[in-house]
Amino acid sequence: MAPLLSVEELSKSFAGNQVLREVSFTVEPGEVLALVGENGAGKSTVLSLVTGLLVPDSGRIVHDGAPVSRAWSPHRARAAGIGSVHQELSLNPHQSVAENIFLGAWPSRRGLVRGRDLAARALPLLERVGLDIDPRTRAGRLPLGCRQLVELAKALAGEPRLLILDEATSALDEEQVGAVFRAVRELRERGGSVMFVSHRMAELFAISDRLTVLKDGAVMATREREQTDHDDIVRLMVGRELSDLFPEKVTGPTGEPLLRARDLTVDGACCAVDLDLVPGRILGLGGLQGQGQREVLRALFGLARHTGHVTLDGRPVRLPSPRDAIRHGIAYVPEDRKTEGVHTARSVRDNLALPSLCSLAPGRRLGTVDRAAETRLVGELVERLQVKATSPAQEARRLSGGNQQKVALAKWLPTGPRVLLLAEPTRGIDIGTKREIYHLLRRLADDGLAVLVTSGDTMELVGLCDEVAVLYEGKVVDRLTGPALTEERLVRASVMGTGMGTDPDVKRVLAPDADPKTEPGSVAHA
Amino acid sequence: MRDRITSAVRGNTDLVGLLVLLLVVLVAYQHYDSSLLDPASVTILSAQFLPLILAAAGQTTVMLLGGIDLSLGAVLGLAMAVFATYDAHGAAGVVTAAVAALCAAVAAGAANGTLVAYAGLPPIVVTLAVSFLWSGVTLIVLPQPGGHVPGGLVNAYNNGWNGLAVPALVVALVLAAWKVLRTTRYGLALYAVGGNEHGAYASGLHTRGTKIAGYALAGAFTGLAGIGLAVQTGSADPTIGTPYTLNSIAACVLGGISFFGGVGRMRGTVLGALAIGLLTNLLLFTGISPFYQLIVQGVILVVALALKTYLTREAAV
Repeated sequence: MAPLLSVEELSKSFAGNQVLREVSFTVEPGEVLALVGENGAGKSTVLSLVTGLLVPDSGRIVHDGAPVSRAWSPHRARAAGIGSVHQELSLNPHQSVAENIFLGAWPSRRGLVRGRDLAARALPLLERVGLDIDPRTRAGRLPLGCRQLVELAKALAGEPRLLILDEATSALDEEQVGAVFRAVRELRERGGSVMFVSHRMAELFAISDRLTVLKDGAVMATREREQTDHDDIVRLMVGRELSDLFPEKVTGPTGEPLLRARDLTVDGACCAVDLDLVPGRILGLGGLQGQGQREVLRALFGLARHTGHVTLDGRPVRLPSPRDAIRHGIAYVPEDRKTEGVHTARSVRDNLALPSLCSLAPGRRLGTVDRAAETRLVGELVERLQVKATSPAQEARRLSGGNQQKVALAKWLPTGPRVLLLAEPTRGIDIGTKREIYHLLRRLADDGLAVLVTSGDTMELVGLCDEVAVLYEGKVVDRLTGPALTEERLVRASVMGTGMGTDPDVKRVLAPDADPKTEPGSVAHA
Repeated sequence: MRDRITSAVRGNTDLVGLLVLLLVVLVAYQHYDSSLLDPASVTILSAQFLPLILAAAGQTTVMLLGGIDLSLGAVLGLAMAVFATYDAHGAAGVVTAAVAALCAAVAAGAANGTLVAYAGLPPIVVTLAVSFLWSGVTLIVLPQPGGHVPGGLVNAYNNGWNGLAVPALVVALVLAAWKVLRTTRYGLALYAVGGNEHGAYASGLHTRGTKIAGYALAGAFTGLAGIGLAVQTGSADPTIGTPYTLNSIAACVLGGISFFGGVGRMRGTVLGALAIGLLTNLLLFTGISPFYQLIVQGVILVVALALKTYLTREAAV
């Protein structure tokens, strides 16, 4: 049988930077093809070429037996039966779920689109992706996971013969991923094809029939799922064995905590959270998605209004704004790096220099930036974190996700932070860069920083952290450390909302005490 | 009945603040001019406010697309000049003049839209640049104030036609037409492109076509506003359109149209334009110096907007 889609020797470069080199592969009718590769390997670029968002420099795309026309566009791709869910969400937050699902193809009678009609047609599609919501809800009111499923419903609305899922499961919990898989299998049974991109290896193996591995913009190999395994794929992706994903943990007694938080409360997000951040240690915040992890970090960085007592070095501190937090040596690498982590329109150089402007532009220079010092600083950081940029002048938005994340982290280092807060530090990042970030965090901890990490990835928390506090509905329900820190116990505490705790004597050491002598000053600002 | 009232209030929380402002202005107005709600006053006031309301409707269309039209005043002046210069006599002449003026305005709007859609320039730059262009064209059509509008038409517009307030009818028609437009595919596309342009493009929408049509529609509203202004004053002035640019933006913002596109409703804009018109009149009544009138008007607008932002933020939580 002729392939449904065949990609033939596609090449593409951006501003002289070749991201795809003669990529070829095929998608057969009724199969699920996984595209695998590290960040920046070119997966999203290939998919954008197929869906008409980008135009190739050379090579061609053959769909349904005929090469696609020169004027290939998202409009034509959709009309030709290619549905897609992109990494960046395409919903209009101000319109209803139903209006979004039929975006651009609203069913109308005599030119008029009837809201009731729209909602009725949306319901079976929402059911197919396992969503039980009112189709008249505004899309912007839904949580991230639901929005991603609405995207899928939208792609399915066009009755596609080829469905493209680019990181379509990144914000979903296991149940929702199950719903996506059901929709994919259903489509496959009807003879449709799916191209699937995900960073979660388990998902790739659970759903795909074949896996095509991309590395540095070229196809390394295509493997049948039965004839390969995780190690084989990872080897192809990174070109080497990856045994030391996580660095060695430290052992020995813990020191005095640097930052203590008591009764930290953010309205509607977390309640009476106690945390001790110890220099040299990495503390994790675990739990299901959205149990208040993010708000704890935002509160400690002065981004969220909070009440409670926070002491630094035993002295009470107030954290009403990020400016105050930074002054106290607290650095924050946010979850959404494109809006809060880096200035995407500015260069790598500007991004890295921004937090250090005070020292780069001292009063004796009348507030002008010392370019030589800036160049030195940027050069050191790029070297130290191995940021892959064509030059320091490259715009941050042109970097791959992993390198953007490195910039978001690196920019704080020259300010000499003592506390490092990271939210989902490796979300959507390839495994090679993940490893680099894990080792970097451990080195920073060894240098005396206190590190706090939130993550939805259980393996990451267990592999990286010295201790993990599990949040459930805004409260710490368990603290795991040492031998008690296992994926099984972490998942159990996250799901059950109750902890068995570590064994009693360890717990006494770890559980933050309420010693009246060190009772921090009362801080409450609203 | 009660349910209908509560649901009507729920569906219009964004307009509550504006309605309160309007009520305050109306009560104060009543104090100075007790004949405010007489049919004659309504006719005269609607005749006076129609150009601003229609101009604001045009601005709304552009702002919903995520753009802004700084050439609105110039296009309004152009339509006005074309209409009055035609020197119409009789019904057929008036219709021809109106069609010519509308065509000029729609063409200007479509040109704006094409430049925004294809040149990839920010709307604020494009419309600022072309505003000089249209001002120049207007001056070629009509170098100094003049032109002619049939007296019967002027009288019917300003004093009512068989007891009907024609301008108020026009506004009602525009609101009704907009309600229908919102339920067409095009109306949904307009809001979709304004709310998330890249997403709309990636979903296969003709974002460029939607933009061009939107700017052309704005041109139609602006052209109507220009014709209205010519009929109201009985002649044309090539430079009279300028203040409408900023006033229309103020009316939109007051009416809850987002600067970022995709959010807002036409009824909000109409109320916003009414509030601005009434406020200007009210300040005239008070008899304070025109310089202070401007200051007071500015302060009231800032306070109203700050209040509205505060109220809607509370409502969103």
